[in-house]
Amino acid sequence: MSLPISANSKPAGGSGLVVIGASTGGVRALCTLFENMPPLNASVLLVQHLPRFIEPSFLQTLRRHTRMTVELAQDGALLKPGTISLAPAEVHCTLDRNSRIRLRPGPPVNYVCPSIDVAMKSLSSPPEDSPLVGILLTGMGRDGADGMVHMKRLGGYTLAQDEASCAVFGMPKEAWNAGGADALLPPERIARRLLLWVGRLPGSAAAGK
Amino acid sequence: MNDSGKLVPVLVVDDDDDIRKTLGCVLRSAGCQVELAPDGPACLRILREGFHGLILMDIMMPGWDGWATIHAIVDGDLLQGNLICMLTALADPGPDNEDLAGYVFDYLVKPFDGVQLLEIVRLAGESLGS
Repeated sequence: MSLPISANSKPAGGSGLVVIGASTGGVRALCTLFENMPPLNASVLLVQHLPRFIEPSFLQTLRRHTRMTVELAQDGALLKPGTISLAPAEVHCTLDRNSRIRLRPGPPVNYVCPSIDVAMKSLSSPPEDSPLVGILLTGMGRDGADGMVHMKRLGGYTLAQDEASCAVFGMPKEAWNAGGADALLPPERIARRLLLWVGRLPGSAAAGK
Repeated sequence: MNDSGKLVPVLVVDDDDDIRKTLGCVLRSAGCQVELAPDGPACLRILREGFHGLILMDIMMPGWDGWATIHAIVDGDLLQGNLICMLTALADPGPDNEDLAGYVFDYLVKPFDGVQLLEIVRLAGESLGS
């Protein structure tokens, strides 16, 4: 069966693509971000550094704090608008043509697997009408900084969490210093900016969180 | 924030008697079961006895510091069923412990905010599925 995608295709439905990276303190930041965000007209790939044993309960936690659908990313599956796909632990997660999930074992990058840099750097230029957004939240180290630079070079919007709201400013600071972030904002304001850039998922109720 | 997260047991690892007592008092008042450890080896002993929950880990301690204690937890295969939150006077963990990024759930700076602390305890409970 042929794939319904072209070289620079956007995810089905004319929607955007959002890649979110987070590490230490990320669960708190993600809950605030998602609680302030309606279902987005975008596919969301989330890379959060966590031990594997909490993956099932972390998925449940995410579902309690967002109105979007939350799934564990599966190798070969297509990202879906209105859905947050969580990169599983202990494999690197990349996207073919910005839409098809690839999961591969590999050595840690920036000491972590999955690496945010690996996911973000797998992206290619999106079509003009398909917004691409990179978000880097709280965390130790520098994973995601190079990926944010890459996304910005592709013409994407990039936001990093501000120091005041971070548990650890390490990763966002590295992205900012590398020129990989358009702005530093707290999660509530990142949510508002996301809505502005990618819009609400068609058919989702206007009221709610 | 919904209230579905239950309060997990908390293990406080801190060499400062006053901090241990204060945290013990705050957390027990909130309904947590609390264990106290004055150093890394005591932390490991409690984990080997079967503790599962949230570990609040000081960084600057004599002997093993917090990072060395986390290395010992990981090397001893004692992380399963536990999440670690640093609770420290160091506002910035610095660049030397990036290799532990995947093991540290959260990071709270002293003097700690009780509301923020209990939010972390609640989210750790949700994330551990307890």
